Amino acid sequence: MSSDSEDEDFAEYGTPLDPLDEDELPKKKPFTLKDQVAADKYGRRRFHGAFTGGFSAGFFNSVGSLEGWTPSTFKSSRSDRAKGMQQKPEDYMDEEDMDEFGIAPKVLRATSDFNESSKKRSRMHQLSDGPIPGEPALRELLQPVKETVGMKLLRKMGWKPEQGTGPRLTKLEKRRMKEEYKRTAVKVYGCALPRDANKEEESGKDSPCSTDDEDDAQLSFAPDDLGPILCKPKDNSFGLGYKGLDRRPILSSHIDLFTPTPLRMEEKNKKVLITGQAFGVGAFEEDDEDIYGREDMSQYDFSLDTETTTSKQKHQITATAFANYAGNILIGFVLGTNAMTQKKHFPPPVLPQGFQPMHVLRKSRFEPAPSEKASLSKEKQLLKSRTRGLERHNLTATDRALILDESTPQVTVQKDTMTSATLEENKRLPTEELKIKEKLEISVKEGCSQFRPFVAYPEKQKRYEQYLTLSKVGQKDRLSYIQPLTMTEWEKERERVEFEQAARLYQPLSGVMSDRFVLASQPDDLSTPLPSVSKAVESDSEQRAAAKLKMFGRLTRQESDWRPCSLLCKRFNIPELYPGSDESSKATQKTSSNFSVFSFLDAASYNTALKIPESSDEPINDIPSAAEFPEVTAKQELEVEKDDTEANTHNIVSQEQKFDDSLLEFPDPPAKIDLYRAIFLSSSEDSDDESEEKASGNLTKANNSKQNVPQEGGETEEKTLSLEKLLTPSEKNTERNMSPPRGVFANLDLDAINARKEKSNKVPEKKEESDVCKNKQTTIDDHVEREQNDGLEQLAQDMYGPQLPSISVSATANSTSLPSVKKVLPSVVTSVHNEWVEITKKDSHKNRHGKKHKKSSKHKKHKHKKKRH
Amino acid sequence: MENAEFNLKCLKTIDTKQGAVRAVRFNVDGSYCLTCGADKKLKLWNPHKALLLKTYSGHADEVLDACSSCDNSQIVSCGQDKSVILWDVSSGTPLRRLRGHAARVTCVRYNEESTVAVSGSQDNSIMCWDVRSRNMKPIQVMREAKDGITSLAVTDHEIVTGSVDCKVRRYDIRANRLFSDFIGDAVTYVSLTHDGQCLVVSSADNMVRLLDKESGDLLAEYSGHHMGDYCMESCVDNRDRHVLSGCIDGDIWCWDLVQGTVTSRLTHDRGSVVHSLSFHPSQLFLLSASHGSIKLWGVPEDEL
Repeated sequence: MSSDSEDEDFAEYGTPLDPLDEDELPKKKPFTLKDQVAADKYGRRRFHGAFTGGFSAGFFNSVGSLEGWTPSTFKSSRSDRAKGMQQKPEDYMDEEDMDEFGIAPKVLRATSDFNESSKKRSRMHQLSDGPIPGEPALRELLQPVKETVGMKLLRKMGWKPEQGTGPRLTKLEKRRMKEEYKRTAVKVYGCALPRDANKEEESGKDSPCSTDDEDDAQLSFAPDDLGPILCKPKDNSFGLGYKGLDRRPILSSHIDLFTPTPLRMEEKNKKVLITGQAFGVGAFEEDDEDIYGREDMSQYDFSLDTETTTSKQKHQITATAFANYAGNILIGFVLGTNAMTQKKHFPPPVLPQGFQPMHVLRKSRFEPAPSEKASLSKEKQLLKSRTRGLERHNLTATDRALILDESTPQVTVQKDTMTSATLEENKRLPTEELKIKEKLEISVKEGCSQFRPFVAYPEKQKRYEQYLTLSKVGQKDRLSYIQPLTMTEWEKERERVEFEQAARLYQPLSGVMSDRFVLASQPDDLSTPLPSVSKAVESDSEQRAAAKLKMFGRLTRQESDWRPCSLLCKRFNIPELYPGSDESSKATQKTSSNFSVFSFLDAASYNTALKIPESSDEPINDIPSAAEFPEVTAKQELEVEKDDTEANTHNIVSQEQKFDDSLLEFPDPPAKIDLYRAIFLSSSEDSDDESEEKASGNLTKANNSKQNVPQEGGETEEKTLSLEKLLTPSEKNTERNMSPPRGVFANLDLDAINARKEKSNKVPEKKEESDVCKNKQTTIDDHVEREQNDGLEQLAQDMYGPQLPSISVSATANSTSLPSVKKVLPSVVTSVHNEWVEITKKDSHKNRHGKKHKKSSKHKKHKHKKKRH
Repeated sequence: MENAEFNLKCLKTIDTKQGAVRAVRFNVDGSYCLTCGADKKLKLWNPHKALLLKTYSGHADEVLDACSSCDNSQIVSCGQDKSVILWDVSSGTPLRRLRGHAARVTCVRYNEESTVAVSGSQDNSIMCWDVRSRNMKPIQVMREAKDGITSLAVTDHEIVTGSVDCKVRRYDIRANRLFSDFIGDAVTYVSLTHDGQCLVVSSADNMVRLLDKESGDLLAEYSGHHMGDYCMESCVDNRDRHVLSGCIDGDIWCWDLVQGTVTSRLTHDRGSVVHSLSFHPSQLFLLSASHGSIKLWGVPEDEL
C-alpha cells in the first residue's frame, strides 16, 4: 500500500469533492454558432457577418431574407387630417435606438440647459426668428452664470466668495502677501515712484487699525482673493501671443476696457495694431518682424515731451490762424479752435492739343502707325457722330443760325474783339487771300468735281472745291487762307484732313462711277422722291440728233472689238479668230464668274476699256479712201514692216511659223495643224501636204515681194492684204451647213454661180496655182497677190468654220481679185462663196443707190419668193 | 393680194390661269408654245388644240421669258428671281438653276443648236451659259450695256441685244466685233427677220424700225401704235412680209414690211395691253398674250 503511505504524507484541508467519474469528465464545450452571434434582447440577430460590427440591415434584418423588407402598413391620414398629426422622430425609431447606446438614448442626462450640444440645436431653431437674423445678442449676454463643481466643493469646505483660498493668515502676514503680490503683478518700467512713498501711503492708511490688529495676533483671516500671479496656463491651440475671440460668455469673464489691445506697435511713425480677430500680416503690410514680442522697445517713449510739444505747436498754430480772423462772427457761432487742415491742391496737368484720352491698339502690324491713325480715327469719330445724328455737336454758330433762320452773326464783330496777333494776320490776308479766292472762284465755277461730299454745308463744300483746285495746282497748304477766321487752328487742321480724305475717296471713284450714274438735275425733294432723270447723256447727243433725223447708219453706229470666249465660239461652231487670246479672256472671266457686287461695279472699267479701241463710226464694209483712214493705213504699214524685218532675220523654215505668229499671234500653230488634219483633212491629206509644201515654197517669194511692198507704198493693196488676213480662215470651211439656201439667198441660182466658178476653176490642181494666179491678176501687183494666197494657205491650215463677213470689203475694193481667191478654194466651199458674192452684190448695190433701192430690192426678193411658192 | 392672204382670225383663245402672261413663245417648229406666268409657273401648251401639256414650277418669282431648245427636249426660262432655269421637258423638273445675274433676268434665248443659253438682265449684263456642261457659271458675260437688257435675239453667229440705254448691240462672234446702233429711245424688243439681214426694233418712242443689220441703216419705220410704258414686243411674219406689234389698247398692229402701211389691226382684247407676240416660224400663226389669256391667230382652214 504504497499509495496509503503516500497519502499519509499530505495534510488535507477541508472536505474533498466527490470523486469524478471518468465518464463525467468535463469536456471543453465548443462554441456554437449561436453563441457567436450578437442578438438583441429579444433574441433577434443584431449584426451581420462574422466579425462585423455592421448595423442591422433593414427592418429587423429583413434585408437579404426571403420575405425582404416590408414597410409598415399604410394608414391613410385623409380622414383625420384635421387632427394635425404630429410626427416625431421616435415614430421612426426602434426601441434599441432609445437604449443607452442607441442613437437617442433615453437615460438620465444633463438637461439641455447644461448640454452644450442640445443648446446649440435649440438655438438653431430660433435663429431665423425675429427681424435681426443671427444669434440674439441678449440671450448671450443674459446667460445664467454657472457655478462650477469646484466652487460648490469649496463652499462646502467653508469658502465664501470674495475670499481667497489657502490657510488662514494673520493680518500682518496678509499685508506682506499683498505687497509681494503687487510687486510681482504690476510691472513698472522706467521711472516709477519710489516704493517708500507708496508704502508710507499704505501704512498711513492702515495705521489707525494696525495697532489694534497687532494686538489680535491670534486672530487669523482668510487670505485675499488674489488671482494667480504669473502662470497663466495656455488654454488654447492658437499660436503664441494670439488671442482669439473669447468664447466664454461675457458676464462670466472679466471685461477689460482699459488695457490696451493685445498688440500695439509703433514703428516708423506707423501704428501696427494687431487685434484678436485676425492675425498675421497681409500681403500689403510691410513686414512681420516682432509680431510675437509683446514687449518691444518701440512701445516705449524715449523722450518725455514729444507729445506735449506737438500738441502745443498745434495750439499755437490754431491760435494764430484764428487770431488773424477779422470777420464778424455770426451769432450762435463760435470761432473754432481747430483750424481745418487745408488740403494741398494739385492742378491737373495741361493736356496737349489733340490729345486722345483713349489708347487705340493696333490690331495688326500692317495697320498704320497710331500717329497716322489718330487723324483717321478722328475722322471716324466724326463720321460716327454724324451717323448717330450727333452732328449737332459739330455745328458751328453760322450753321445753327442757318437752321434756325436767324441772321448770321457778323464776323466783323468778332474781328473787333480779336487780339492784335490775329489782326495782323488780317492785314496780311486781304491781299493774298483775295487773289487766291478770286482765282478759285473762277476755277470752281468751271466745275472741278461732280461729287459733293459736303453739300449739307455749302460753305464747306465751296472750300472743298477750292481745296481741290488748289491741290491740282499743288498748293494744298494754302487752304488755311481760304478757311474762315472764325475757325480755330484745330478745326482748320481737322477740315484739312477731312478734305484730304474726301479727295482721296471721291476722286478715283468719280472716273469709275461717272458713266454709271447720272447727276441729279434738281436737288433732292421729299415731295417728289423719284424725279425723272433725263436720259440724255452728253456723249449721245450727236447720235441722238442723228436718230431724230432718221439718219441711222454711220452716225448712229459704233463699232468696237469684242472677244467671245473660246467656249462660246466652240458652242456656236465658229472658229476662234484669236485663239491665242484665250487665256486673257479666261482670266477676266474667272474674276467675273464669282458673283459679287463689285464685279458689277467693275463693269464701268470694262466699258471704258472697250471704248478706247473703238474706231470711228464708219463701218468696215464701206470702201475706205486713203484720206479717211490715214491712221489705219499707217498702222498696217507698220505691221507689214515688222513682218519684213522678222522675215529677214530668220531662215525660211522657221519663217513659216514666225510669219504666222506675227500675223495672228498663234501660240502653238503646229498642234493646231495636227488637230485640224486629224479631224477634217483625213480624206484629202495629200492635197493638203502639197499645199503646205507649196506654202513654204511660196513663202520665199512672198518675203521677196513683201520687201517691195513698203517701197511701192500702195495703200489699197495693203488694205486688201490686211483684209485677206481676216478673210482667209473661212476659205477652207468644210463645216458650213450645206442646206439649201434660205432667206435672202432663196432666190439665188446657186447652180449658175457654181458653174461660173467652175469655169474659172479650170485648173483645180494647186500645183499650177501660181501660174493661174499670174493669169488672173489684172490690177493688183503680182507679188502681193501671191503673198495673199500664201497667207491664205497658211491660215487655212489653222482655221476652219464659216467665212468672215468682212470679206466684202476686199471684194468691193477690187472685184477682179475675187476669182483669184475663189480659185484656190476646194469646191466644197461653194455655197459659202455664193453667200459672199451675194453680200458684196447687195452691199455695192446699196452703197450706190442708198436706202430706197434697198427697199425695192427687198420687195423684189419677196416677189421672187412668191413666184416660187 | 398679199393682204388678202394675211387675213388672220382668232382661232383659239386660251385662258392660261396663271395670272398675267408675261411672254408667249412658239417652240422651234411652232407646234407648241410656252407661256410665262406671273404666278411663277411656266406652261407648255398645244395652242392649236388649246391643250395644256405641262406645267413647270420652280421659279421663285414671275417668269419673264422662256425658250425651248431645238430638239424640244429642254426649256430654258428666266424670271424675276434672278435665275435662269433649265427644264427637262418630259419630266418637268429643273435640270439646272443658273444664278449669276444680279437683277431680274428679262430675256433668255438658246443659240441655234441649243448648246448655249444667252440671258439678258436688268443688271445690264448678258450672260452666256453653257448648257451642255455642268458648269454653273456663265462662260461669258457681256457688260457693255449701260442699262437693263430688254430683249435678245441669237442667230448662228451673233447675239443681238436691245437695251434701255437706247442701243441695239450686235455681238458678232465670227468677226469678234461689237456693233452698237443708237436708236432714239429705249429699245423694248429686238428681233431678226427670217432672212437674218434685218433687225426689227421696237423702241419706247412708239416706233418699230426695220434696220439693216450690217450697216445699221434705217430701212423702214412703222408707227401709229402706242406702247405706253410697256415693254412691247414686235415680230415679223413667217415670210418677212409683215411687221407686227402690240399696242396698249389691245390691238395688234400689222404693217406691210416694205411699204410701211398698216395692213390690219387685230383686236386681242379691247382695252388690255397686248405686250407679247410670237409668230409661227413657218406657218401663218400668231400668238398674242394679254393679261391672262393668249390667242392663236391664223387663217381658218376653210378659207385656205
